[in-house]
Amino acid sequence: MSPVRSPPPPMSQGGTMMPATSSRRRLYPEQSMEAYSSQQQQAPQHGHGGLPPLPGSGQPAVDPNSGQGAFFVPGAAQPPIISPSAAQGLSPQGYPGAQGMQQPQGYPPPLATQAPVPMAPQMTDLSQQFAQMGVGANTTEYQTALLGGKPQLSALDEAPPAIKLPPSAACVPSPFVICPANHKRSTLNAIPRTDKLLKKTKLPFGLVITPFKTQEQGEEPIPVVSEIVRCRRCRTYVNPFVQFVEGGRRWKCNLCGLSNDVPLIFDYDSATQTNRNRWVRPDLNYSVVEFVAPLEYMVRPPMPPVYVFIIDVSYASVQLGAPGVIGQTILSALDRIPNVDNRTKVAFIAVDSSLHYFQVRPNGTEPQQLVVSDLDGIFLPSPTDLLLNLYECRQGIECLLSRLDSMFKTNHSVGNALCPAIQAAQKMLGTLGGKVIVMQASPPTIGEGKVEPRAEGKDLGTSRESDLLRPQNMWYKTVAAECSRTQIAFDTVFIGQQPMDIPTVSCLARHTGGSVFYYPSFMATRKPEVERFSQEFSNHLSARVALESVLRVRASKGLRMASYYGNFFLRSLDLLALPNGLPNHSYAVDIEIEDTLTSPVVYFQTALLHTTAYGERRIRVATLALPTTDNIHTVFHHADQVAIASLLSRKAVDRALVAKLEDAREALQHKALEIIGAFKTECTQSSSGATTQLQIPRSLQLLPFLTLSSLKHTSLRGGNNVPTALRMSAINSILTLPAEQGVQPYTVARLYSLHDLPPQAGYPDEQTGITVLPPRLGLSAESLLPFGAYLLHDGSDTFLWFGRDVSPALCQALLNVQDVRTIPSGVITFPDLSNGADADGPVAGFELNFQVNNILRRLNDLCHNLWKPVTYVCKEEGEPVLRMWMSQRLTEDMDTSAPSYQQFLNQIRDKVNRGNF
Amino acid sequence: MSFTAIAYIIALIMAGVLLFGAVYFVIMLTDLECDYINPIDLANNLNTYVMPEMAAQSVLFVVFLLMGEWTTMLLNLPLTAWNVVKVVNNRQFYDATEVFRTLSRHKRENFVKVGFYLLCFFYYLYSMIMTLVNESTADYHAASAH
Repeated sequence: MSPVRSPPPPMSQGGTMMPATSSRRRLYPEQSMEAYSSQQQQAPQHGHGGLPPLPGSGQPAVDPNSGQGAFFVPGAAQPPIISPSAAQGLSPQGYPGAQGMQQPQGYPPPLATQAPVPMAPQMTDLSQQFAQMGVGANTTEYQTALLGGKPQLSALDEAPPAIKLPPSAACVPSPFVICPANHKRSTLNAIPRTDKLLKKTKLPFGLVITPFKTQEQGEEPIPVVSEIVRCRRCRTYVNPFVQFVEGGRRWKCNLCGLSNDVPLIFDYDSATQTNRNRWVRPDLNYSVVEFVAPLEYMVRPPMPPVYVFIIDVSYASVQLGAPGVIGQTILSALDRIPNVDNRTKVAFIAVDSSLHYFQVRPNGTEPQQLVVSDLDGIFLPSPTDLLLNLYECRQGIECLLSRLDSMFKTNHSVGNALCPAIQAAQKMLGTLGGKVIVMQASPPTIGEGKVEPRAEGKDLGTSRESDLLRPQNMWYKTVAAECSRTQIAFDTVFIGQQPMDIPTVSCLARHTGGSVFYYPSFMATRKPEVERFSQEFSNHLSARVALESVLRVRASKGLRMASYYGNFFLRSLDLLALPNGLPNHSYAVDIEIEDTLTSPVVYFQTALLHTTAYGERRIRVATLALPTTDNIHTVFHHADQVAIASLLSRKAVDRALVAKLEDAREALQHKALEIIGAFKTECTQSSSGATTQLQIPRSLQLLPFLTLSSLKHTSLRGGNNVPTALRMSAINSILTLPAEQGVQPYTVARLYSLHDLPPQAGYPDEQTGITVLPPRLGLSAESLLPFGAYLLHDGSDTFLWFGRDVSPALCQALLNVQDVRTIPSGVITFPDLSNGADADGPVAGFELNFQVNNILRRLNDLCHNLWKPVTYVCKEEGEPVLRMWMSQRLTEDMDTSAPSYQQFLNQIRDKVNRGNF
Repeated sequence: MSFTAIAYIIALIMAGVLLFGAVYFVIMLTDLECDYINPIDLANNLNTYVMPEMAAQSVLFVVFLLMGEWTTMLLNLPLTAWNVVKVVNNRQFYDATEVFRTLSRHKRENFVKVGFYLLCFFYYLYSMIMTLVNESTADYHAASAH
């Protein structure tokens, strides 16, 4: 080790180093922005120049430019490169010289050599000094950003920090051994070895799992394997990270370390009597594979898809015109319901103050209505022909659905016998299992589970608000638990604005792995709302389903799954029961480090045992391998902010459901503060004392913004203008959405300007064929210019914002209207002015409309067509309600319930500086 | 034999039963942790015994209160109060959907109960013997006084 001592940096010590152009200690936001941009121009010459500053060469810190390597350079997307040694956490020497250069001239090296294991903040500095002296340290490895200025939203579209495994981690050098992030995403891509280190970083550790993920466009199908090989002890499936020992005769389980015999089938196919090459096996090459499960994995023959529709036909529902729309929607979706082998069964129960069953004989055309008004003892009016085979009874079903409207048009019954209907559905499905879709437009009034209307008006925005989010009675929970055992799942669809006590009734979906839909402004006469309902609902019905499934999460020794978040029934500590798994549902797991992790890599394996819609039992296995480290810097710089935001918002809404909303908000805010504070004390030289600019790892630069956005989202937003029903459905979405859609666009919307669209935006990219999206704007009213038109997309809603002085030509090209005053305010159906004539090119004069339509389509694709957004036209001087809705999504701005991004940063900085967090 | 002695004998038997009950609860919760039992079965099973257990405990409390056995009453007071709080907040039952989240708390609670009932058992035994001994000495004195 050369005892080179870094010369004193040219700047005053203590605070963060500013770019050389400015030696002032305090920068105002605009100035700091300027500082960034001037730096951006310089960045290429030093970042990729021929002379990277060499740490330990004795001269780097003299060059004022070299210090900038440590700063975040906006726009210059440099993926953090990790040297294998750092990734393995073998030594702290992989730490960048650039970071080390920032250290004050304080500690001389001789002291450092005597230093024990770095623990105290000062010691961390010493370790930095170690790092600085390190041989061959990479200079551009990590970047530290300053907190300030505008959030760089483009970072949300970047891939999570790369997982750098040691070269020999996988038994086959295949490019597919890294688990795709949209399948399973860890909040930390380098895992601390000890719980102590994890606690020190304050970072949350967990996984966000989307086990039954939708296959995206251009994605390779998941390979299918027919032989299942598992560890004898821990039942882990063979995966790319097992090791072959004893000349390949045995394999060592990577989770528990037990040596298992390699089955003959790996090398020899007895059916064809030929040799096989084990190294091409998909389960040794791919991190995500699907096994075809043999008989041992079945307790009964695979069930068919079964759907029971419970349709509210009481007066409230009829007034909205719901039965007709529901009938038409199901009718048009009949062909899309999974029914490959004609085994799919459906049943319909209409509900008012009595139960209406519909009986259809196979091949019969006339449905017969059986009305049961005695609701004390639940019985089925007919032993057969209530659960209809979709194929055999198709005609009768079509007839029934098309008549649903006329049948109940004059219904004036106001009761709602939901609970008896659920019991009847339970009886009907019996041991078969299936999915019950509850469509409600009024609160249940009959039976054990009837709900009392709760007056929420004066409780909103107070501490009593959280009580409104809790179920009124335990009936639905108990039923849900019972049903999850018999493989019955519930979806709850709430239509209209009547108080329906969604927190109580949606327990059905919450504990059976179902979904919650809420259409507050639905009415049969409002075309965009009907379209939205029909499309979302029929997409939902046609989704691939994983029937009677269970999800098991296994992890390496020393790791423990502490708690789970999402819609499921927890059957044991590592087994989630999902009677009906859906592609767009994700689950989050909190992980604890129980023992010190000794191996350089740890593994997580999830296995989803399910029955496909075509009656095959399959197991989808995903194995995620992550390196471990002892270096706190590596942990920070490999944190995945999107996964962290997703996990933290789930934890927060979960907390809101069991404790108080304020607690949830407080906890979320506090967590961000803790993380930033921990980074300051552990990883920067200004470990104690005040700094004018806070530093944050580049991988976490959006953490404050994502936290603020979560706080401002409908699910957690403060103030008294969020109705409980809306909040509850938002909470449900937060709990179930995958990290990719839940964070963006659902929490952080996308904003584009339409008046200056780049020419290529909205047209397919020449190479990839994917529609090019325009550059994103910051989510602030500052971005909205009076002569502009803007598009805001948050997944479930789209806003078109028009400034006061927007040009008539733009209005003409976009919506085919004269000028901004003739644009109708409120909900519109975004017109397609190409008249369907030519899908490849725009009609002359309406290029803008064509582009925007394509952009909207692309945005919807990015959300897997989960939603059919309604377009709201919001004008600068338009309706206040619409402007409020839109401004709620502009999360950089201040509003009544939460501070602006700048204020939020200042609060964080003050608290961190004061050290009271 | 006085009424006090009879009360202590009954309390002794009840404490024994309650002790067994609490041990059973602990066993069931441990089974759940080891995945031998389904949370739904667990909830159904345990919930049938929750109210009887509370009733038995409160009956003891009331009996001692009415008899003026202040020490014994005070011994029982905390648990009774805790039970009342739970019933008022409607938290006394095991919820199959939440049981894993609250497992550690439930286990701790039941361990404490095991300890408490064990203590009660021996205390009642002692009190019973003391009462009987006092009575017989009193009888003896009364007899010898004649």
